[in-house]
Amino acid sequence: MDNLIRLASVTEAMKSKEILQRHNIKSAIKRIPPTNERYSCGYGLYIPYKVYEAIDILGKYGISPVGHTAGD
Amino acid sequence: MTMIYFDNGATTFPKPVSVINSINTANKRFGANPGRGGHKLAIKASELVYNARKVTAEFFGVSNPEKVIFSLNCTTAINTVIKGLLNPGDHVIISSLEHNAVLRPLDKLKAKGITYSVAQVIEGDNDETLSNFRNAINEKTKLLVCTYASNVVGIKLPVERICSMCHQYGILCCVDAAQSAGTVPIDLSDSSIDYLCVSGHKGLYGPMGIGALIINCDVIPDSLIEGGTGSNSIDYAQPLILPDKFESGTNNFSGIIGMGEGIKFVSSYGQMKIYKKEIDLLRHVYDKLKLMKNIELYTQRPNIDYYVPVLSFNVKGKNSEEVADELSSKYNIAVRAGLHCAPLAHKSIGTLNTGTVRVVPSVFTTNYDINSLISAVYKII
Repeated sequence: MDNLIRLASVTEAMKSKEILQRHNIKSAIKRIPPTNERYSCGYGLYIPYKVYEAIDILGKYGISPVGHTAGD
Repeated sequence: MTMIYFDNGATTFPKPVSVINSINTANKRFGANPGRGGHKLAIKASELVYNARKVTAEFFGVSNPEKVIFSLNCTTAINTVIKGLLNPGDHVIISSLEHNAVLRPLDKLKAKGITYSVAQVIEGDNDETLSNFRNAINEKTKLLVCTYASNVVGIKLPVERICSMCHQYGILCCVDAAQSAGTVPIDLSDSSIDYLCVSGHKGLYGPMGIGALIINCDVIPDSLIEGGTGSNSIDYAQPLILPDKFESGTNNFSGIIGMGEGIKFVSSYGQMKIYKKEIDLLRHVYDKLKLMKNIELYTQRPNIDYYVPVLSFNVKGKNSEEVADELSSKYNIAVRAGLHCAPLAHKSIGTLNTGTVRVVPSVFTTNYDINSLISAVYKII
């Protein structure tokens, strides 16, 4: 899935969604499909647009996504 | 005859209607497993748990909700800190008023070469109490574990002073707030407490079977149990991220929701308003019991600065269980008797062989309740 930021836990996903909302970036929590990558089978945020901006914002709050796929 | 309930030190009863409704709604409408599935109901359940985590964090002045670890109860939280931090050769300081939640894990760890010392709490003399804690420190002391307030006699410890002093010596501080969380305002944003262990079903008015460990430092204990967290499942190793590191297995979903709602209830009612009300009620009991010839009391008159609303007494010549039984069977009044799982505290006040009758009011206690208790005790003596 494109535009998906992978996060380490559902709590982090919830917190990230809330932070992005405050910055007017819409996101939806999605289950990460199982892969062979680290942190698979967890939660992520689907962000229709501004993925890199979202990652920058989260970084300012001390949240480092464990991976992402960007289509924008 | 309606029962009059003074066993709020064991668990508050009744629970606020908003708490009961939130638990019912959680089970009726959102009963999916939070943090596991990706369907709408699971996401909604996760959101509700996150909201309760956030409410708990804000209530205790913690900026990161992930530092709130939901646990089965306060005892599990305390065990997590004790067993997750200590190694053979380490030394621990505890107070003379500790509950078995602290004493028993440490007693068990003696077999692994972990030792502990007991610092005497001196009622009415915080300087002397602090000095006793300082004198208990040795070169191997790694951790202080002490109660915020006694569950037997309500004496508050000078916790902030003790923790600040311990930090000067590089000692980590864990506080058992089972009997004080929700009753006494605790703000970790300006505190030397490193680990706060709370019970969800007492002063926070949640249901039984829920508590929390709130981590207020960068030293993260080892996990007590490992297992499924719904995250990073491909890795055999336990995740290190919080709260997942400590929340293996399915959480008590409705308990968490209820505890969050209980905290909202306390906040909206006014924490200090509840505290003052309960202390005032207890002072009235204290004053009346003090006038009765055959009553033994074990503290000074309670006040907000030095006590939480917990009062112990005995009727001379009667066993505490006998008095509690009489109050229950003849007057339909519920109190707790015995040792209250705190033999150290009873040793301190000289009641190890008799126990005490414990009276703890709640926000729902009325003047009528108090007067009924006083009248019943008067008839018993």
